[in-house]
Amino acid sequence: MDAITVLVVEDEPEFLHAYCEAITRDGGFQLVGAVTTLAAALALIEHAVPDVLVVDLGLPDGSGADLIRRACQRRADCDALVVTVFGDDSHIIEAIEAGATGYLLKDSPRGELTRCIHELRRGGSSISPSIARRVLARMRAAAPAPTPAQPAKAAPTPSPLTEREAEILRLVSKGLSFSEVGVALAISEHTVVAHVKKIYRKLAVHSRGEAVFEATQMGLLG
Amino acid sequence: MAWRGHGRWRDGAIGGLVALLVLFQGIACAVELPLLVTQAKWWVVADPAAASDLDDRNLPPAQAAWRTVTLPHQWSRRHAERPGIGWYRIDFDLTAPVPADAALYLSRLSIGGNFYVNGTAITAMRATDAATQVRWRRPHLIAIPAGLLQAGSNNLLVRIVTRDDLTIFPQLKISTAGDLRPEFDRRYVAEYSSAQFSAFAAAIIAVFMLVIWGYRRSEQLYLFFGLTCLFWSLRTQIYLVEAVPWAWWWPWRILYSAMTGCFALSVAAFFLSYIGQLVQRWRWALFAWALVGPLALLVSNGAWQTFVNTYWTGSLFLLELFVLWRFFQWTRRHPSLEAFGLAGAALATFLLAGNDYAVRSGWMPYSNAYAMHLGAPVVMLAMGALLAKRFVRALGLVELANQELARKVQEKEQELSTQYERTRAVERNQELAAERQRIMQDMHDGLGSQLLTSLAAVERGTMGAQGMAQVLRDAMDDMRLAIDTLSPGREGMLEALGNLRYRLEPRFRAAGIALRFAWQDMPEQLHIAEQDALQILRVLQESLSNVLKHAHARQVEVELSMHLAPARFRMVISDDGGGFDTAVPARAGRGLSGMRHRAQRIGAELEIRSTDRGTHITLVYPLDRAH
Repeated sequence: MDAITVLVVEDEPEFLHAYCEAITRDGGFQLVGAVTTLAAALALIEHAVPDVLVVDLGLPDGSGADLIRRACQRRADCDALVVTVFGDDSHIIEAIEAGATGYLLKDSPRGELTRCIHELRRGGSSISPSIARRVLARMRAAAPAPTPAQPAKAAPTPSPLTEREAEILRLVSKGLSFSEVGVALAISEHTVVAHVKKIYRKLAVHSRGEAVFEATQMGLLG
Repeated sequence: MAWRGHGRWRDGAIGGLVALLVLFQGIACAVELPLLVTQAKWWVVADPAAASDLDDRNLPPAQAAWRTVTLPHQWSRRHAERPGIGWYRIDFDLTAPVPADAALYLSRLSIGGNFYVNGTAITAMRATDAATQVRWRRPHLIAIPAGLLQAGSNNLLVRIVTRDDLTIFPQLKISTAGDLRPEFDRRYVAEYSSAQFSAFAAAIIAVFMLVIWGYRRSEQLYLFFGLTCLFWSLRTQIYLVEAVPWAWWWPWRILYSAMTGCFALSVAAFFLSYIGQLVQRWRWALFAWALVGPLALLVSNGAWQTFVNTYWTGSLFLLELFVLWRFFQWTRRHPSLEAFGLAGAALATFLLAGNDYAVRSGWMPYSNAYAMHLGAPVVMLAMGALLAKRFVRALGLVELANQELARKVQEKEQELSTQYERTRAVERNQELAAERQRIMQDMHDGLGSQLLTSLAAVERGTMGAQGMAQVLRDAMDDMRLAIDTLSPGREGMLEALGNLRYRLEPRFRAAGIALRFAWQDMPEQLHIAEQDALQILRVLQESLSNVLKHAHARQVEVELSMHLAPARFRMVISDDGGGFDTAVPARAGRGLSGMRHRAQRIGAELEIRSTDRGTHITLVYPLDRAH
């Protein structure tokens, strides 16, 4: 099996160094780049999109979310892991909507970064209670009942979440761990995190759909 | 006969010009129809008993003591002999051809009588007899059977029986029935049907007005108007009863007077009340005076009838005149269409009443119709219009008042909501200030002092890189917890607890320590004030942090539970590490005293038990303290 290609985008040299070191030390990864600006990262992914992007959102020349969005456009199975100082909800949601499938606090213990990347490539993602609640709220608000003025066919993505996915989010937001959620729903912990990743993808698709929908409403698109 | 002779040379000019004939009544005579009879011969039977047996053979002879009288002929003023049986004889010539449908028309013959043409009875109009008093209110049209009249000289005999001195014998008209019918009909409607109708209408209006007054006792105008209509209606209906049994005659007469008086005084009360000049004393005086007439009749058993008819009725006229004068004066000061209309109608009715009075008293042609019952409804209509106007104006005022009220209420609401908003803003500012104060205090006591003591330690060289990293990590954790817990939009403490757990789990995983959370009956929501939740979570974080740092434990369990009576939240953190001596502060670190301090601040109990087989930290937080 080929090594997982990773691009690190982080403007703080200390963190950049720490991440690069952790990635290169893991035999399963191949560090394909380590840049400090959005422009450099965008130029790199124009050439080839890596399997995994490790992105700091607050870059000096722009938002990491733009990079994630571009990368996901070019390669749908690209995994973007956001590293952030605080578990700041709105920025994380924004990143997920851009296509991020995971996020990590910068003060997480050593080893969390590589563990997270491995989990992502295995098809799983983590989610904190606060983010779970916000995703749930967004997805609920996202599926409005079609109004008479708005024919049903115009609705972008009806019923984005399955019942199981919504239940997982609900339990996580109440503070249950993934293994506890698994026990409660009689599924494995791995299945739980796989659901979470699917939910992230859905939120991204939904937000794109919403953008298209809004553009259609405004007459920008046919 | 003089009147016959004089009439002859005017034959061709007569035609239908009855009015002209009235002017020349003294000399009028006709040989062609229509014929207006203005003079008659009159004979009073000296011995009524002898003449009471009535049949065609008992007619008075032509050679009786006839006297020539002018019609209308009033007994009381023209003749002393009253009451009694009297005969009127009218001789007239007719030229051929004599019409087959000839008829007699009398505008009024209230006492009735028997009519004979050329010695043959043509009608016996019902008259007062031993059982019944009869007073005809309607005009009379009497057909003369064909064949009775003849070309040349004819005679008409009328027998009347009088009981009082009010007897008047009218002028009469002879013509064809077709010629007389229209005038008869007009008169019938004007004097009889219209009176019936107005009485009926007035009764309905009276009931309506009195009902209104019943609901609004303070609105006396409705009372007076209702009474006016009521008394008018009653008076007219009493008046229209043409045959009254003798047993009822005096009650009838008294009642009629009473109704007339009450009507007049109700009108006066209405007017005075309308212009606001109805003094309380007057009201009773008015109604007392209204009863004077009927009482006089009652007490005197009819002896004062003349007094009542002339002076009491006259006094009512004067009173109305006075009231009308006051009303005119008021109308001049407060001109309005309704008031002028009412004043005009009242004046007209007053004049009509004067006409009736004059006709009854014989000062005006007796053939004139009684007309007051035509004017009174007009006055009542005008009064009704006035009331309606007042009513509408009152409604308008009410609407205006309602609008004003709504506007005021709205203003007040606006004011209140502004006031409320202002108060809210002040409260919000105070809350914000208090919140800021709390956070500042928190940073000062926690993060600040933590960083400061660490700084001092680093500067003295007593803290290595490892210790430094630990201090920074603790500071970071504390700040994270504060941000996480105090950030707006959080859904209670469960979420904050979950976030803490989510954040710490990787560390426990990295340290190889099993972290277990055990809820005993996990609630759907856990509402604990943010500030208190932060302190509880700090105790939890501190405890877990201690386990990570010092305990050398393999597992740690956080048991959470809710309890009732008293409502409280219980949190137990147990590890299986080496424990420590709680009595030695240095060993326990500054964390323990910090935890105790936090627990104390939120009124929670904190119990720390440590043995060499593990440590149990129990926090019990009273929920009734929470808002």
